[in-house]
Amino acid sequence: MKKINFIKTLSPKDQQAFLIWYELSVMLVCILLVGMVVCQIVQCYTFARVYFQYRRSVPIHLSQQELYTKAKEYEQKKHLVQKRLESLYLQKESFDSSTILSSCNTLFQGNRVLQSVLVHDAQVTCSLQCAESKDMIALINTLKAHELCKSVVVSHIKTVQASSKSKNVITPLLEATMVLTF
Amino acid sequence: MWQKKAYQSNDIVSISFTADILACAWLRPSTKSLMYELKAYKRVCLNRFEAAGGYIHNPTLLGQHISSFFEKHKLEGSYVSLGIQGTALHEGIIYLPTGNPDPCDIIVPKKQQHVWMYRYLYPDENGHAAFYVCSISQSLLLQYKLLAFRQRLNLLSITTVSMAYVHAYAHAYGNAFRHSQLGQDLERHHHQFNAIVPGDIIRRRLKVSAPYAYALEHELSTLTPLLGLAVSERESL
Repeated sequence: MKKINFIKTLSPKDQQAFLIWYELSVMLVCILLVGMVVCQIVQCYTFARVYFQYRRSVPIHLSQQELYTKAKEYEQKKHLVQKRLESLYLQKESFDSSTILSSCNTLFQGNRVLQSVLVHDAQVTCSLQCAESKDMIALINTLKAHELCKSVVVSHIKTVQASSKSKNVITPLLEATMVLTF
Repeated sequence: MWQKKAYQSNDIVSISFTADILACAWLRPSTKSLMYELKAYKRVCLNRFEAAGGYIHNPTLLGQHISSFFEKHKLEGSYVSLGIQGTALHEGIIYLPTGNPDPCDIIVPKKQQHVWMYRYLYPDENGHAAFYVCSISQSLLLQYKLLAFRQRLNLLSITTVSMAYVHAYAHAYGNAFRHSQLGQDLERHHHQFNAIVPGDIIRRRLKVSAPYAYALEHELSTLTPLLGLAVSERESL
């Protein structure tokens, strides 16, 4: 005989099915979570291993890079110094005060009396005295024709009185100041 | 909500509310025979109108009685079947010319407001079919639902005590149950459902442990509907 039931409820079979479904779901979710955690742990372990390896290798790499940079800088400096030296050698070769002085010494002979020589970089300011104007012109031409001398500028010429102590005779002299550029 | 016990157990807790008695029984059906084992039993006299006429007037006290039974025997999560009897319910037997009637033909008072049901009982001498019809108001049903909800009962059914008697009767006769015999017995006892169930058969079908032997002898009228409630739920287990 069928029973009379005023309410609608879940039958015991449905309850059991629901419980089985619930427990299975919980179990599967737990298994899934555990699996995910295990996978993540493996990945985390790999990441940590690589990370620490990277951390260990970074200082070596940095020191090597620093050395490389310094070496490059030194090389650049060396190159610059060499260039500088070369230019200095060239300058030394092209502009030698002793050569200039010796040249001046050879040039200013005879009636030409070298009063003073002031050497400043590539410029030489010298003052000299000549007895005659043709000697002065010849000197200027000689200087202009000289291979080391680039330009000759006569800044001023004046006449001075030169006295001889032995003879007590006063002779007029031309005194010129020239700026020579080498 | 449903505990591990409900997952495996076939135990049923039957609770019956009559005019002056609240009875609870923990019954375990036998897997091989039609026997039922009475594991625990409690009978409370409601002499202060706690559930007079089937209405719940003191749900707290009733809830305490029920929860104490469940706590004592650790029956949380067990399947529960509830039987109600009283003037709050409409019960009756109607005769219809057909055994397969249209529900519209059945006359029940306050049909729209009540939850009502009917079951075929027996064929009449005049060729009519007798039906048991019962109805309960929605508000009263809600009271019982709330009572069960408050006590966290795994409620399977709410039925009438009369129907529990019919189930006990059917269970007592087993395969020999016939609707015509039921009709004869009902007519002989003036349609008193509590009188149709043979006590000696019930005693044979119920295995009772020593502490409850007294109840089997002297409180069979209370035990019978509880057995009927358990029997009605056996099919769904």
